[in-house]
Amino acid sequence: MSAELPENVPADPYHDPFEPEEIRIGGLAAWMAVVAFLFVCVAPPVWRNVTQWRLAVAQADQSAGDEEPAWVPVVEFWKDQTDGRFTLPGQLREFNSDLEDAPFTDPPRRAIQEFLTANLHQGNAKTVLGRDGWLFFGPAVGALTGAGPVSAPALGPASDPKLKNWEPALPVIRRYAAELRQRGIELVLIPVPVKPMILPDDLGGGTFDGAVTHRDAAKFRGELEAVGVIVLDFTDALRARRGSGKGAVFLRQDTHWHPRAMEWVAREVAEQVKSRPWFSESRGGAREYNFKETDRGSMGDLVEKLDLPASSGLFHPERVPLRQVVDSGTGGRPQSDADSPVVLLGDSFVNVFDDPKLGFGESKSDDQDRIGAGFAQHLAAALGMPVDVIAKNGKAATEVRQDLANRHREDIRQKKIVLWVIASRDLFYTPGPALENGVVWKDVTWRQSERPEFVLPKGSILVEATLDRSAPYPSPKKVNYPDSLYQTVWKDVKVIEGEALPAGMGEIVVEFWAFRKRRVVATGRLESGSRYRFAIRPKFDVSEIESSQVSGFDDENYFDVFFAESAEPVAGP
Amino acid sequence: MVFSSHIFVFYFLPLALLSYYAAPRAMKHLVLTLVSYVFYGWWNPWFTLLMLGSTVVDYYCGRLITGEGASRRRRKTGLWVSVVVNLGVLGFFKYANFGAATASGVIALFGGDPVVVPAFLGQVVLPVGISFYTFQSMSYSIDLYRGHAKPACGFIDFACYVSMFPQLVAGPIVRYGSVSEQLRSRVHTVGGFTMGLARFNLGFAKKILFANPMGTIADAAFAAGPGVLTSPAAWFGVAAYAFQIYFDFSAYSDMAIGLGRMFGFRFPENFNSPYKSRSITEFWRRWHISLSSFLRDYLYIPLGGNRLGGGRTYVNLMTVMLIGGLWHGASWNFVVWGGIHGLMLAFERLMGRKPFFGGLPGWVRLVFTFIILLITWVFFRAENFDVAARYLAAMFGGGGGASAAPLLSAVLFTPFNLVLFAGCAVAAFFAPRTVRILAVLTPWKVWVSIGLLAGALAVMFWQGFNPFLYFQF
Repeated sequence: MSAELPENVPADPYHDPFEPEEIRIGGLAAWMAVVAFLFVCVAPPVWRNVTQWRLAVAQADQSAGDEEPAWVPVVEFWKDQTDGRFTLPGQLREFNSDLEDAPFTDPPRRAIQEFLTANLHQGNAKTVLGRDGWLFFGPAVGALTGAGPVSAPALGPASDPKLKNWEPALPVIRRYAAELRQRGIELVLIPVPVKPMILPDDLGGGTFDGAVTHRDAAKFRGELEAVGVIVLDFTDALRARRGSGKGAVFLRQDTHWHPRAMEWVAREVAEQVKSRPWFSESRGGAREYNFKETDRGSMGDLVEKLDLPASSGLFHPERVPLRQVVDSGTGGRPQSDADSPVVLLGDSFVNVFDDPKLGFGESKSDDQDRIGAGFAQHLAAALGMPVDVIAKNGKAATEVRQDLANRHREDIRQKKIVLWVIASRDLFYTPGPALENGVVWKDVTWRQSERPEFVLPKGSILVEATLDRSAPYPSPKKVNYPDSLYQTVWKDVKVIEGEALPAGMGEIVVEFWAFRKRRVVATGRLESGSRYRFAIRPKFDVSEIESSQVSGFDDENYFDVFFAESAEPVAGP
Repeated sequence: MVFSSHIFVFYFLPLALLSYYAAPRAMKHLVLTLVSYVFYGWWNPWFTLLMLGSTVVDYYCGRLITGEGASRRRRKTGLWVSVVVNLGVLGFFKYANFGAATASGVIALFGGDPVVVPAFLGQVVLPVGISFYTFQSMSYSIDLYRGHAKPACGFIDFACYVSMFPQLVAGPIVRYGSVSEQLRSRVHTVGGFTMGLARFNLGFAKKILFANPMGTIADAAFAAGPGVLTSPAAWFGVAAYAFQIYFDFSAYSDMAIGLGRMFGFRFPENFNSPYKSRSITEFWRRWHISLSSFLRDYLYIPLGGNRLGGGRTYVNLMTVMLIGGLWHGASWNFVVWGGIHGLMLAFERLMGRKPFFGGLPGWVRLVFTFIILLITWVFFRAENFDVAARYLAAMFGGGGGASAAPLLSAVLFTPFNLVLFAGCAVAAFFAPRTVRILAVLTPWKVWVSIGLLAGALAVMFWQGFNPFLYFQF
């Protein structure tokens, strides 16, 4: 560490003359290089604008159906944003974000991912490659190794300002438990251990005697139990089950648990519920259920998140035995029952093996029946009675609780217990990863009215309305689930066909698909200020969207919401 | 807008070049100024007003200073207005909350009530690159006051200098004196343009292929909870951060210098293989050269430099390094980082030209220097002291123990990460500087650079958005 400087390091580097240089390239060669450089920069956006323009012309001639709508960047830049305003920063942000998702980025990205996966055993931010073909959800590993909610580092001066309003899980859950208790409802939290907790050996890095838990887990559980929350933690039991050879606990290429492990947990939870004194008295709705064995395959959500080329042969579908639950009375899948005293809140760990959008369906079609072999159905079977299910993929932190709070007081009064199934990673995220993964912990707004203010008409109503504003939704390529709805608010509503809307309903809130299979669909590009015609149905009547993510407004909660599948532009009001 | 973004490469840069070269000679500075304002306004258009304000103040201060027959008092007034306004703006946006928090902490120590900060201060967002352009703009008035530069030919020329997008938000800090002649007259040649694009391409590749992957490793290591970080993982993580910050920042400088060249400017070099340093003194001759020389010429020397005796020299050294640390961010972590560097500089100065460790082989001194740098980088990267202390403890054997620790190691020590880490180490310790690689520009070097740009763009699609680290400063 001598203070002497080598000869090539000037004592006064700033005032040195510029480095000597020699340009040994002829005029023609230099011009060719300049053209090549500009071609690399210009070709992708020009190609995109031209192809999108041609697509727009083709779509103007005929109905495009579910096809991704044309989006010509240089034209769209000048249109209003989804929130109905034209602000330069907003336009620029939206333009930038859309450019990052441009279709011309797909082929090179996928080719690189395939090369890295095949040759360097490298996944991406969402999918971590373990041993022997085991895949892990990257954010889950990060949540497990991260600082956690109790000892999360304070935010620095350069931190994202959005993080400063972020609230950790613990205080929110405690307040929620107190609110439920006021209403005579018991809260049972069921944090589902994530794959690296139970199968760390398959991720690598060492040998493990038992399950891996987050450092804060015990403290977290203790603080909840201290305020009367029952925490059913199956981490050690599932690890023991894996060790005892009773069957697989997790799927190899998917984030979620193996159906046999899930069924076992459903039965264990049911036993807890059955031990409650009120249970035997509330058997009025008792049902009988049968089981039907089947076998289904899925590539797994973790392979989907790798986003490999369609022709890639690196992975093959994983087949699992499913036990479908059949309601003896109806002969169909057990339905959610809003009158049940047992409420099941949950995320994709509840929906998997029921919601075909999570895989394991009969086909790849969007419109197929629910599978009926999920956690909720097995819980109902084990209880011998239907349960009230509110489960949304990736949204068990707040949205499912808000959906329950949206019910009228009369509906809430009959509830006895809330079983809250949530991926444990959601509990342990630090602010940054939480926001990246769409996990927000907020208090819910309880509906104060005793009975419905409006009786929403059943069935479909054809309306014309002007789009006032739309909730922003995240980039389809950056979220954990390939499908998402978003909320829109409409004014000047005119019923064209069907039952009249309740008096006093000045504006209506309608959920449309923003993107499906990670592609923005036509309904995701509705323009604020424009008038559309569409058929609405009360959201609670539409079973195919009940588990889907919804992008809502940050500071607004709407109690009565409709759903519409498509919208046709019409001339002004 | 950042250089390694879709919007910059695919829209902004081609359009900026097109409009610049299509403009008549007399309009070129106006065009470059306008595109630079678009570039800066991309983050938040309102911040362009701030830059415009700073530009107007410094331009008129410059006129006050250099006006015909300007009295000494008038010249001083011009200088002080410039310095106070620029530092005031910087202080408000960057240090107001930090100052209030620090004051509250001190008052609380004595049992007092915390300082009540006006609510709006909590909403203040740090304008990108403010530390760079306020320094740059201020250098104009100081250089004029000292007689080191001639005044700008007009407001547009000066606005072009302040806002010039290639080096606007993350340096190099180009002092007015070093480009004033180029603003008056410069030559545009296709050869020079080719040199610029080759330099830009190499910088782009450096950012995407080296800096970003190292950032992923560093982020995972620094996000680790208590007990999760083992000693090897901690060293690996901080070394990855050392490579990230070097390749990120030097890539930005390469791209800035390359872009400047495309517009006919030559900017000073900002890096000289800093990790080849065998002492901290040498490191500061090689690292962020434009900042260290700025601090030396505008702070260290006015404080007296080494002309006022040994004791005062050490005080001056520490002062400069502490302020240099604080310049990087409003956090005590940066002050500690600067403080350690200041102590090391003072220690090396105290040892003189023939220190007791001077006989050690060069590579041993290089390794020691790098280890000291790694320790200081912990303070630079950590969110706060707790994390820094925990991280340092993990580096020296006080980590691990948590059941999740092996999981982090599994995620960090992947073949991909190890291959890239080795590539970065070779590039940082053994490869020649970019400017030397391109010292003799031949056709094959240009074509290789274009190939690297295309490849790096493909990798950028895979990586997603990764801003430059120095933007936050």
